[in-house]
Amino acid sequence: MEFMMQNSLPSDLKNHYDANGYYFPLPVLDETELQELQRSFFEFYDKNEGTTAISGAAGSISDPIGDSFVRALGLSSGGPPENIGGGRGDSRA
Amino acid sequence: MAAVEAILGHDLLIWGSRWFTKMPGDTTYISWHQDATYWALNPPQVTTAWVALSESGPENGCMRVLPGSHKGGLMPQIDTYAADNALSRGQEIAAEVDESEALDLVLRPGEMSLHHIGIVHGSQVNHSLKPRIGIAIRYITPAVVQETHEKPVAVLAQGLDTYGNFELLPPPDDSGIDLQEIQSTAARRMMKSILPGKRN
Repeated sequence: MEFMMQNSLPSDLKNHYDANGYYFPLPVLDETELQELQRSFFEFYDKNEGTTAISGAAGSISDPIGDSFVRALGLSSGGPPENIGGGRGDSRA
Repeated sequence: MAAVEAILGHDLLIWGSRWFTKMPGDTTYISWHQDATYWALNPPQVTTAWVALSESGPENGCMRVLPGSHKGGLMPQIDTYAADNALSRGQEIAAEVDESEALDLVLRPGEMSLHHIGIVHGSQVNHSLKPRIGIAIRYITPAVVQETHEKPVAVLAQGLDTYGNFELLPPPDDSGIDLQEIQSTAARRMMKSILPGKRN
């Protein structure tokens, strides 16, 4: 999210979103953040035998690491990337 | 967060998050649907940030949207419980969707898209040799109410919550709080609120 702040928001973001219901692409992770999160993701994925699921039907993923990921992204008030693991989630899309 | 703030305003809650992972050979897909149909969140001050950790394009099953469909109201939806459908109920719009109108939200690693709770969206199978990995983070304003018997939970992302419509969970930190317990509570309440027959 720091990356986004440094790259200022597109001026048409809100108007485009309101008119069309979506907006993309928006850069949010710099290379260092991305690599760290990819490493963390695969570490968890491999440790859990190729799944991020803790319940649900095939491919219906409850998200045990989502909260920590959110924190790692700086999207919550939890601060900068630290530990990845644990968290909460749901089974929606 | 700045992009989400530009759309929803300064006061923001995180209602949930979910990984969407399609590895090569994975046969899962996501049928056309509208989140608003089954999330029971009103008013629709809800946006999803979909953050890509891998390339996400048509060849590996990126998210697709029908632009402007959030303005058309809710379409009828059926629960199929299809085995390879990654949605919790296999929910699917019960009407013909004109796929020629669909737009691929192509993302590079480290980029995100935002989409409205009412937009028609879905994704196809990963037909490539590349993984497709992303996480969806659901943001809402504190003014949103979720119709559920048990008080729903959320995390304050920034600003203030003067409404009290959600039980605010502590943000993840390293204080030693049992995250698995918090996760279990949150997941149970959410599943009760969105799955049929689990409202009570």
